[in-house]
Amino acid sequence: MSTLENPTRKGEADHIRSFHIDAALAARLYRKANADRWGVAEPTFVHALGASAARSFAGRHPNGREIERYLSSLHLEDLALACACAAGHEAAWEHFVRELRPVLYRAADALQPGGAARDLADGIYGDLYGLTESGGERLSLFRYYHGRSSLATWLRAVLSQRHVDRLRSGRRLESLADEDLVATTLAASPPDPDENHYRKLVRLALVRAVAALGARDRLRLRCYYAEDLTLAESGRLLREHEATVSRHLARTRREIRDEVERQLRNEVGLNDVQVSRCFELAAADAGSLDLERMLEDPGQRKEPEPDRST
Amino acid sequence: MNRGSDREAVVERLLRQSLARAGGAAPRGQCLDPEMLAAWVDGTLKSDELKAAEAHLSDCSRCVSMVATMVKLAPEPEPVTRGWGIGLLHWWVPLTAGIAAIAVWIAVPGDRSRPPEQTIARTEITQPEPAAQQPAEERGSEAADKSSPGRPAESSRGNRPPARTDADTNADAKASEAREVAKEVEPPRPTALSEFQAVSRDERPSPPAPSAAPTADSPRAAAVGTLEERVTSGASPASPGAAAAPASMATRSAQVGRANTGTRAPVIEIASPDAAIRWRVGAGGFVQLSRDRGATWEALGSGVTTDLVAGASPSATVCWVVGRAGTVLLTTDGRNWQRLTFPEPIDLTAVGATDARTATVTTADGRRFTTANGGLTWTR
Repeated sequence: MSTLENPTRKGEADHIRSFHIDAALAARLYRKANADRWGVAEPTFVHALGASAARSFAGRHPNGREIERYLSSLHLEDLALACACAAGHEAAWEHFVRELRPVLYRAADALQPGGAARDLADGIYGDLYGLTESGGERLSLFRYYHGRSSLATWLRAVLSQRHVDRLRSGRRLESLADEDLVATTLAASPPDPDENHYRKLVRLALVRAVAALGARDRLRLRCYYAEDLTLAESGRLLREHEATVSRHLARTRREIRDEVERQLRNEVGLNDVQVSRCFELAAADAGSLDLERMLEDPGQRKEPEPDRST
Repeated sequence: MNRGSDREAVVERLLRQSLARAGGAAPRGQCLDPEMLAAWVDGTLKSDELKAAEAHLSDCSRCVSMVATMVKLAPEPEPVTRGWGIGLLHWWVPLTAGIAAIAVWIAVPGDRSRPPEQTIARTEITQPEPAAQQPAEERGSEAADKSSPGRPAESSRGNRPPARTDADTNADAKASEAREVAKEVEPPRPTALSEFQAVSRDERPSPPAPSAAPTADSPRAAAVGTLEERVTSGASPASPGAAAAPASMATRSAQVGRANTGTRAPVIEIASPDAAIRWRVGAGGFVQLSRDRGATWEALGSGVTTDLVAGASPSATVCWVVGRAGTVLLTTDGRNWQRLTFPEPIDLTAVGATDARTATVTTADGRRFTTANGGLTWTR
């Protein structure tokens, strides 16, 4: 457990070695990382730097300047700590348990205040330590940390990933209507007084309108409507001010409405009265769904989870 | 349904329904691993990586969920003190104001040897009103916060410019400049707001009887009086109609309504039994939600453009809001509002509620209508 040898396969090692790191730069980064505090040898640390660069510049051959800029931007102290923990350095583990494991458990408690996510945190902790072995070698989750973010953020990311995957595994997912099906349905839909048909037309036109948006607009919609992020949270995710998020959402809604109307008129051939009827029916449809939920037995009603947003 | 706003409300509902349950189109590229997720949140992705990640996220519900979870877990960012826009504004505004003042001083002919009393008098005349004495950015933020649902206020601000002093020879020019900047920052106020103020003055209800003082255990606590009452008194008295609401109605509401006492933003605040959760409503269908005791507000789409004048919240997720022309809104999840059908298009002045099904609404002429089925039917 005390050895700091690098557990890498040959091909991987060759790939990493292809990123030449200048000796002076390596020494400077090693000092900056305070890696000797955990007994991480310089070659080991340089190898970790190379692995990080190899992953980031996969398939590319950056020049020395690019590599230096990239390596200098890394969270070097955290990377050194991860190297040491992966190798089982006791003092490093003590530091991790004291400083970072609480971060993991706090995040788990924030995800599910009842403590239901604690097992996820425990699992991550075990994987960090390296409970599994491959070829007699202990495999620590730390080997996937490359210093591109703080170690605390990375731990939260791992936890988030496992949390979401667990939630999704227990949920039956419905996919959006297939684009081809949507197109076929719209094209083959003559004006029809049937109410269900009108409702369907609006929904399908909406799906197409959303699909036609730019990636950032779709992402913004997903954050706000699917993930229930607040404007401020969406803004943090998208690096936008919350007022900007709000403005873009309003614009996108207008664009979707215009596009839905255009499709109903031009592609389906509805007149203004029929388009208006489509929206009325869609509104009534949404309303009835809300009413169903509202009229549930209060004892059986599922209240939303406590909001953890800021 | 011919109005664009109504159709947008429908679009919003459908988006909420479809996106929430949709898996999305086949996402482009590989899913983000924790390293990329973390780098995204820490803002260390390269521009090409960011672009690729955004393209993937826009179609991948799994990755969006992970990023959203990350954002919710991430600690609050430090207040912005070095933002480009804000930082620039902080030195650019006074600098420009100073240059402008000097230019005016040079360009405008006049007797510069006039006695100091004249200068003082001129300064007094052109002193900005108190609101204009705040830093331009802050006023813009407040204005956005209070008046525009589409432009929530920035929750935190960085350095503020130093306070004004009488000795500042550029005070007038700075104030003028600040007003100009504020005009740009502040979004145009909805016309309905001024109309609302005018209406509220004309239709001032009779003052409530002393016995109508709200209590936490009475539906009257949930019934919020008209806007004008709260604007003038700053308290939350129930309207006369609400005062006569049946006392046997066991409300769980701990809502207290109050209006901002500012002269320009008649906004009703509705508190829920959970002290952290509150809404505020106002002119033109304005609705906002706060989950942090009013520290920050999120604009919500109400789906209506009528003025909203009162509300009641019997739980942290349920809120009833009433307004003009028979407008009754209900949310059962705190965010999504549904307009309920009311028997008459009459102005409503107050509402008391016990839960998501049962509420009593008071009309402007003092009649009370009660629903026990979430607004499906109403009885007098």
